[in-house]
Amino acid sequence: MLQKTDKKSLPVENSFNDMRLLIIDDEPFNVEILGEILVDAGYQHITSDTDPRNALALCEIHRPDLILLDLQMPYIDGFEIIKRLKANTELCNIPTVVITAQTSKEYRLRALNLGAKDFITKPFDPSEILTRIQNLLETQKLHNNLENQNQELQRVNDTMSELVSIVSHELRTPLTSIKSFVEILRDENDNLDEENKRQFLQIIDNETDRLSRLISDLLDLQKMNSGKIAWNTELVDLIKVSHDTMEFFRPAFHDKGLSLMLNAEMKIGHVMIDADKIRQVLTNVLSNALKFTTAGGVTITVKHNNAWANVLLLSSDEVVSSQITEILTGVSVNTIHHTDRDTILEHLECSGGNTDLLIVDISHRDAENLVLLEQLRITYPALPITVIVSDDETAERKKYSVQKSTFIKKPINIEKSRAAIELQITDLIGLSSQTTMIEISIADTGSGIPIKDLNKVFDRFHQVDTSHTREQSGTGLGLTISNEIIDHYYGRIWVESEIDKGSVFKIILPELRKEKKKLGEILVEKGLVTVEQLSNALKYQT
Amino acid sequence: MDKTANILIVEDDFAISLAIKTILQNNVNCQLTLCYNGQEAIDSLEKITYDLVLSDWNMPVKTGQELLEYIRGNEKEQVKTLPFIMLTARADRDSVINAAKLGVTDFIHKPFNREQLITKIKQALSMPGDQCGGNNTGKNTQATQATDAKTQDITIEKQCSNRRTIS
Repeated sequence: MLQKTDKKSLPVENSFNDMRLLIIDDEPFNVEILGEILVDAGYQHITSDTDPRNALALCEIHRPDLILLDLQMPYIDGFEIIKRLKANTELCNIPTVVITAQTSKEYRLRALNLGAKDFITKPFDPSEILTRIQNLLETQKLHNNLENQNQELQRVNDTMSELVSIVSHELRTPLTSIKSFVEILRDENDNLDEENKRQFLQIIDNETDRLSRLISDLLDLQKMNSGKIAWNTELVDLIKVSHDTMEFFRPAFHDKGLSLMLNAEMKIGHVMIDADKIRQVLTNVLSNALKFTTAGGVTITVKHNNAWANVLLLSSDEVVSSQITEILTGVSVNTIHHTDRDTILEHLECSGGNTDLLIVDISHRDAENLVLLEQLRITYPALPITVIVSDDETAERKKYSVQKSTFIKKPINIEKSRAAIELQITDLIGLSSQTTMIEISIADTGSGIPIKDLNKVFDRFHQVDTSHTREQSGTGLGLTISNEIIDHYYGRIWVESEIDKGSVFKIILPELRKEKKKLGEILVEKGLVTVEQLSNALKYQT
Repeated sequence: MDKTANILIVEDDFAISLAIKTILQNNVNCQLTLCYNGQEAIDSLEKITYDLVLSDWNMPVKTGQELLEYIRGNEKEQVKTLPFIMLTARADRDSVINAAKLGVTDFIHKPFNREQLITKIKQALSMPGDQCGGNNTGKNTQATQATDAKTQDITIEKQCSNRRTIS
């Protein structure tokens, strides 16, 4: 495989240089020449392969905007590749330019009939090739733009339909109770005693509250999703906010006979956040904890935590696993190590959103892991992956996805690899590795959440069985909104749980510290705070 | 009705369940059992003989659909032919048609009114057993569905995907 990306490109005017090209030709020399021509013309994303059997897989992974395809190749020829592309609904719109010899007019016609868009002839004439490619890319660019707009419209439409469906279902539930009890109080008055009447009026009151919370939550979420919400970012003391929220909940916990405690580490700094919104997050989590806990209680802990990233390691090589463990100790993350693929897959499926980095060994004995890797690239396109390979050559050949993958060579160089992995992890939240994180954890002794539902609790209207708790129902939007809020401030919120033992909701947020300027700069850059607000905030920091 | 009817109410929302209980107790000669999801209802059906099931559709653990499938597929003729009234907040044509195919006796849409609830329950209780669902009642349930769809002015909506993951 040939990657021309790093090569110094000439300063050529090229409005298509961000488009992706794929060259498939079994003759390495042709690939080399075409690559040179394209790089010199300013194209930056060129992938190539001399083995035609890889063509379709490469198309799946890279989604090129144009394919340069040789016709006469071993194993599978260009005609067959065109046929298969045309048969694939997701790949059929990628234009193909076939490479033929001057003399083979018949071949050209046959390829064009099958769906090839154009042809270039050997020996290559650079200016002709570039013109033909550019013509096709112009159309392809329009096509891509239309497709993007179409997807965006589709997304808006889906959101609207979902909202309509939600409104019709979720709002009707409290409405049903309200209507029923109003009718009961009006029509069944003779059959009711004072106690009944009081209870029914209380239900009407509660359900009216629920309805109004639902409406304001829905509007909040809608505003967040459309970027129209106002964020009043200020310097916030998380210990104080946690303490205030806890005191607000104390009477309710006391009534249920539950304990409520706050443990805070000394010297916890402040964070830049919207105070009302972080209070809203804590309130959501605490009211859930209260609802699902019948004995014991809730402990809130505020402390530093830089080991928040979850790493999965797949390797059967003991040396590799001990070296990776050593590297990760330096980076401080939670690591789960497995030697078999099925366990890793299972783990990813159950807690997909909780895995921050996957490290896969594809060297020697673990060569078959490559299959898994290719599969995962398609299933989890955004998951950062570090690949351990045996030598340079393998790294080159197996660089199946340029984005989100890092390669580590065996024998492993600890320092270099640590830097590479650290970079991948800090990229996750868009902050530098120097940022310290504050963690607020809210641990209850409630019923716990099944593993399969751990990610779903943050989904809109995730249904849980609350019938036996006899508590007032939530809106089903609290954790979704919390997630949006924490995400906005470069934080993370997730839940760990054990059935019958309880759940722990964890929130991490970047700490603002005077000596670490980077975070402040990012906040200013993103428009979350003004320079003035930041310098005022920093004045009070020790 | 002269005889006291034994009614099973399956509804996961406590307030709605209490409202139904209050209305029926005061207006229908009946004895009520309250369950909060499909599974509890199935457990109860194994022990107690009922005359009517009034069930919500969207519920955790086991849905109304699963409950209805259990009932219509039951070995005991008495359970198999039980009148089954579906309570639904989702005015969704697909789920209503689906429910009708499975042998729902009647529908009550949320928010319902008191009179409608009482009338529909009394109506279902006065039906002879062989008209209330089961294999031989396809014609009857379809007819119910058709008139219902017309009178309730059902709008077609996309199903809420989050809910489907649970059911």
